[in-house]
Parts: sequence; C-alpha cells; structure tokens
Amino acid sequence: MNDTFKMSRFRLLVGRQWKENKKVYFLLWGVISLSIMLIAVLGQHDLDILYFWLFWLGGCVMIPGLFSRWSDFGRSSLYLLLPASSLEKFLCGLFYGLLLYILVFGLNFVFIRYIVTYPVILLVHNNPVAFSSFLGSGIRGIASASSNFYIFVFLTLLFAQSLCMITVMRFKKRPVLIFALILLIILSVYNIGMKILMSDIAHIPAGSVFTPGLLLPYYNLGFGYAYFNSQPPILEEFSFIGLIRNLNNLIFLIVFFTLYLSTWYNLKEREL
Amino acid sequence: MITIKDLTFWYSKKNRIFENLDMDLEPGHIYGLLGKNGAGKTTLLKLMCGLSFPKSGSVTIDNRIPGKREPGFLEGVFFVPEEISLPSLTPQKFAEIHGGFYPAFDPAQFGEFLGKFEVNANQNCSRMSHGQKKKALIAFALAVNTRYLFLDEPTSGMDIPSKAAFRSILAASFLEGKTVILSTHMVRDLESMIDNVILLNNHRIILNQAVDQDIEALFNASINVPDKISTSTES
Repeated sequence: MNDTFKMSRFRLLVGRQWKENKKVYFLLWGVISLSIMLIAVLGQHDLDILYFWLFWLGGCVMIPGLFSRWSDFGRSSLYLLLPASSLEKFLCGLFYGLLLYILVFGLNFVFIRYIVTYPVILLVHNNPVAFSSFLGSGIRGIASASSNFYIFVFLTLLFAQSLCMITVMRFKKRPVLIFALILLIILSVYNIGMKILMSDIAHIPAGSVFTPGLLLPYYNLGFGYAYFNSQPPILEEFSFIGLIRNLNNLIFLIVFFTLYLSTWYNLKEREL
Repeated sequence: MITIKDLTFWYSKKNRIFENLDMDLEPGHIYGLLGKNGAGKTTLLKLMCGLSFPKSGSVTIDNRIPGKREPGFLEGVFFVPEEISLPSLTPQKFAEIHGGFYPAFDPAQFGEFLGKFEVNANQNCSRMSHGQKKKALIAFALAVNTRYLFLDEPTSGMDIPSKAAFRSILAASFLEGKTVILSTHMVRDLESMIDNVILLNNHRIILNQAVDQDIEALFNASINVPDKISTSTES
C-alpha cells in the first residue's frame, strides 16, 4: 500500500473537506462577494487597495478550518486518525486554501464587477457586453499590468497563509490573536528595517514620506514599500530597486516555503 | 498483536504516567482497561492508536508503529474518545463521508446499529445530546470493522437501555481476530463482555490476565488503595 500519496484517498479528503465545511465556505464567499460589490459600487480608484485586503484577509480566514480544531480533542483525534497520510491532509488544505481560493476569488471578482458595471455600460453605450469578452478584457488587463504587483499580492498571501497555518498548528488557544500579534511584529520590524535601509542607501528627496507597502497599493520600491513625494516619480533613478525587490521576493519565498514545510511536519508529528 | 516494550511516557517529567511498561495483547479478545481516574487509561489508548508518542520504549501493532499514522495502519484502527465532538452533519452523511476511508465499512450494518441504539440517522449531530452523539460514533466505529477498536469510557453518558444495547451490539459484531480495548472505571457496566482485564495503577500494569472470576472482586483484591474505583452503574 502507498502510505505517502494516493489519489483516491486525496479525493476522499477533498470531498470530506467540502461536505463538512460548505456552509462556512458559502458564508465566506457571500461576505467576499458583498464586499467586492460594495467596493465596486463606491467605485473610486482609491479603494482598489481594499480588494487586495479582502483577498488577503479571506485567504487567512480560511486557514483555521483547513485542518482541525486542535482545542477540540474529539474532532482532532478523528481528523488525525483518519486513514490518510499527513501529506495528503496537508495538500488538501493547500488545495482549498490556495488553489481553489485564488481561482474562486478571481472569478468572483470579475463576475461581480461585471454585474455592477453592466447596467452602466448598457446605459451609457447602449451596447451589451458579454461576460466572456469582459473576462477576456480583464485577463488582458492583468497580462498588460506590472507583474510585480501580482507577484507582490501572491507572495503576501502565501506568506500570511503559511504564518497563519503554523500558528493554528502550534497554538491550541487563541491562535488567531497570536497570529495577528506575530504578523504585527513582523510587519513592524520589516517596515522599520526597510525605512532604515532605504534612508541609508537611497538619496530620497527631502519631504518624502515613507509608507508601508502592505497598507497602500504602491509597490514600486522594494517589496511593498513606497514613498510619496510631490515631485514627479523618480523611481527609475534608483538602479537598486529591482535588486531590492528581488531580494525581498526571495526572502518571502524562503520564509513561506519554510513555514509550509513546518506546517506539514507539525501535522505529521502532532500529538494529542 | 499489540506489543508494548519498556514504555515510558510523561506529560511533564516530574509526573510520569508510565515507566518501563511491558505488555503483549493477543488478538481475538475484548480487553477491559481498568484503573482509577488519572491512572493513564486514556493515555495508554492514545499511545496504542498513535495519538501520542512514547518518550522511550516502543508500541507496535502488527509490527507497525502507531505514531507514524500510516494510512495502511489507520485503516485497521478506530478510536472512540470519551469526549465526542462530531461535525454538523447527520450520522448518515457522516458515514458517507468517512466510511470511504475504511475498506471494510458496511453501511447496512451502520444503519442496523443506529436502529438498535435508537439514533435517528437523519438528525443533525449538532442537535443531538452527548449520549446520542456517542452512540452514533460507536455505531460507526463498529461498522467500519477495523481489526483494532479502542473505546474510551464507552458507556459514560449512556442511559441504561443504551448500555444494554451497546453490550449486545458489541457482542454481535465481535469477530474472530478482532481486538477491542475498552477503558472504564465503571466495571459493572462492562464486566459481562470483557474476557481479559488489564489493571493500571501507579504507572504500571498490575494485572493482565483472562477473567476467571468477578472483575470487581479481582480489582478490589489487586489494587490495594483506599479510593477504590467506582463500580456503580450510572443511570
């Protein structure tokens, strides 16, 4: 018998996860859809960052339900002793938390934006637009936009999710609070570090205001780090920007990969 | 066969639960794991099914290490904890979802056991009492037909007719080669079905033998402690 990975067992796990949690997933989907709709109706470009926050938060909210409630001995013993390998259980978590989530969020985003903008298009242009062409233009828009932004969004989601996973796995009590605290500490250290680094090596014009990139949609400088200046953009002047960005990406990749591995290991070695 | 060799286990180093424990359990028996509260009954069950890992020594079941929790091993093992918590599903749905993981699961048998326990297969578990949930999970545990079945205080929270139903279902579903280990501190509830008794006291097994006399008397004679275990039958 293959004790590491078997597709039939994985399918059973995926089915089980859906049937046990579908109410929660539908609720989450409803909240996300409503939020996208609200942001789209308000329709100001400045609110675009809220989509990113929504994507990020939704991805984290899913995590605690992906494995088991460790504070509940009955449920967690049932889960740990379910005849499937820890790798299959971990991959099932990633399937829902990452693959399916990104796919459903993306499609939902485009669909709801379509629903919201369709009446306007109809009113103004009197020319109905099919959803497929709307989707096509959305995909073309994504393809033509800066890939750095999508890398940034994707990496921050992976990082936050992996951190949430390991927190949920390690701490029986108040894992969400602990996750929020750890995240706050990491972001603070990261942003202070970046500020010092950038101040030292970049000759940023006086009057520039540093902003943590995770709070605002500006991502040009470094990993999610930006500054404002009343002057026209001068970002291109700094040749090291690309280097810093890549370095940041690499650090985040290593961190989330390590956290994923730790999560899997913790699942494997979990005792009750 | 369950083999325990030189097993030492603790939650905190100062308070050892087991020290150099040795035991062999032959298949084909219903073992009663008896002991006072805190004697380590649940811990021993957790070690045998792979929910806890020995600090030193070893536990093996049919030459497999439970702590590895390999699917091939888990297919042959089912553990019913004392504290039951089930997802918000009906027993029918629960069995549909989980039954597929166990090759020998028999849905007809599950329905039959639920009927004997008078548990509604289509009532959501979230609206069931603790006793009903326990009966639903025990019905499932027996219907998956695993070679090893671990039951932690199976009759706690059950009313008298349910205890009788449990005894009759367990006796009827017990097949040759199967091993059932049930922990209890309510000896009278289960003494009629236990054919081997394991007594735990002071971090070690003080008795592991076939039952050839009254279990309660055996227990009282073997365990020379003032606070004897409860022998009451809860109603």
